[in-house]
Amino acid sequence: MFTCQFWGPGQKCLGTPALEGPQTSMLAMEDDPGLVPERKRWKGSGCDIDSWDASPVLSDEISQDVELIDAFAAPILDKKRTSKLVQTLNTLHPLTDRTHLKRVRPCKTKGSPHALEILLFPIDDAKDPEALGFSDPGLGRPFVVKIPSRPPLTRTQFESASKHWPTSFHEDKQVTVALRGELFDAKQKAKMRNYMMSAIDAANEGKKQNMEAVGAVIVDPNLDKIIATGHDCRKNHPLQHAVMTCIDLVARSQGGGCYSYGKHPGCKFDPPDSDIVPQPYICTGYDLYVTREPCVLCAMALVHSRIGRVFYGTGSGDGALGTKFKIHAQKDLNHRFDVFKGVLAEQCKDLEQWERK
Amino acid sequence: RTIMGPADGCGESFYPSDEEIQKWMDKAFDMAKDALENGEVPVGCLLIYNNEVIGKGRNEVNETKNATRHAEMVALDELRDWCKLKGLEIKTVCDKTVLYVTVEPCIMCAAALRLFNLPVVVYGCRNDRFGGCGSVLDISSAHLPQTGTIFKCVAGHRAEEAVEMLKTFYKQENPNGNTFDSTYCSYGLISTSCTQTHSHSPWPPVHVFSGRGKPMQTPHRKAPSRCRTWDPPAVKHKRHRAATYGICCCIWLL
Repeated sequence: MFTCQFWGPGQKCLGTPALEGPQTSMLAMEDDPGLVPERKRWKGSGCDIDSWDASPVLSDEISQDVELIDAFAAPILDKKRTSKLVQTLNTLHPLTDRTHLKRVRPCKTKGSPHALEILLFPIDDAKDPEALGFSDPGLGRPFVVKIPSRPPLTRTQFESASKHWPTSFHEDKQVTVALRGELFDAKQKAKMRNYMMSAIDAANEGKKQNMEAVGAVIVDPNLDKIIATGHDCRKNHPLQHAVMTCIDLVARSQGGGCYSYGKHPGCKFDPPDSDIVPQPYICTGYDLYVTREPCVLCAMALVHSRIGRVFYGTGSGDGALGTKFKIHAQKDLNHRFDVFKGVLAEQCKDLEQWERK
Repeated sequence: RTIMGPADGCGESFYPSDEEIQKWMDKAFDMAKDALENGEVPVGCLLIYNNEVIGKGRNEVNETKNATRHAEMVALDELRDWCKLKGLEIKTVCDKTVLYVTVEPCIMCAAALRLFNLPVVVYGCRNDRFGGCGSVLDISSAHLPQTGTIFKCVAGHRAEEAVEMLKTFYKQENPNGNTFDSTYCSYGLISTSCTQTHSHSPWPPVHVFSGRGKPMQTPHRKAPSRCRTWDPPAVKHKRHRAATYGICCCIWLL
């Protein structure tokens, strides 16, 4: 049971974040007019601040179903020859890239004369089932089946893939827990909330200077310390988005940097202690909290900067960490990182709405 | 040479002539060669407006400790300062400005070029590792209404030469022995944060990412003096092999 520990007793808590799945928060991000009155109702309760959930932004490989491909299978007429058949097929048509597939499955249709079916080879290997390379009296007439093209990564994928052909599955506990929305406990969520609040404060600071209301902080999660706080400065410079500002402030904290922020008191940094070993190196191991989803420029800048994790409040139209692209999970790039969305989603969304007015 | 991107829709009829391309790309290559001779990343980058250089840049990642200081980003900053100095609108200047660069801009720089509304980019070789004009992602022509405007790409000018220069750069013997600190590698970075010394290797260990964002440290067994032909030591585990291959200087060439 979730207890609302940030608010005194007697205050009503509406949110039970641990029970909200990723889908719930995804819905909340859409501009559904039906949600507006509810949001207003939350405001009065004083507990809206904790009715958010950080849901992972996963690669399509994890979030979508496993792709199916066609393959040939055949009934095994003589059960005693099964092991011989498996042996021959493993030499002639090994499942090298597809070790997740089982070679033999029990026959699905009831009352069938044969009990087992064997996987021959994917259609890509040869279009003709006759191209088997051997004949065996124990093998029946080949037919086409669907097989999952790669190993399932989540239980959902495993369940849907297994319907087509028996598949092995090695569960990644971290992914399962993340998908259930239980990756962070109340203590961690409290920290995340505080960091995002700092980002929101920075956004407001920027707004006062007529900038877009976007704020960001870069945090050292090991020391629990904010290294850099920045807000959008694109009225000054088309590329000084909140994230870019923060990255440069981190560089500044390490004795580098290339811009000055004298005019923007909201953009500041805190140099790390000189005696910590190893000395920090660009954004390695740091977490970023930003009120809205980074654009392509910022997302790729984070890849170059080797950021550890990214948390954002609300999605954006051209967002590159979930909406238009998933740059953090792009296979060809040399650095990948975890992304979570929905941290203080309502408050971050409110920033955006001021923006539109 | 190939011209990519939509034929219309951006920059109207603005387009550099073949002579202009020839001239400014030669200048960009001179810059790259200069950089190579000085032990810097051989990338040349020029912004040309009205037959005048209004911005140029070289990679400044190491000195600024900011991994986003690619040559293009530095050049765009110069362009902005130039506009300020001349009292001109960035937008009106950029409408008629061409970027000449010896290597395809990365995804980040491609987005930056969009945000500056640059209509045309002329580049030499592809950037298979990070390219944002089609090699990894096509940011130049993607539908991103809030991220500036799309731009045309003219690719392939003296491409082999550009690749050759990069190869030479990454092939170079490590001049500083134990303190190889060129943290810049094919628009990527190798870590210098590890304080451990590896007597068997003059190179610092490299953080190789295993896909889930957890860095593994893999010390080199042997300095790869010639990256391209360097064979990683025979290793039993596939995982280790992948890690060995994933190292810095081989990134570009693999």
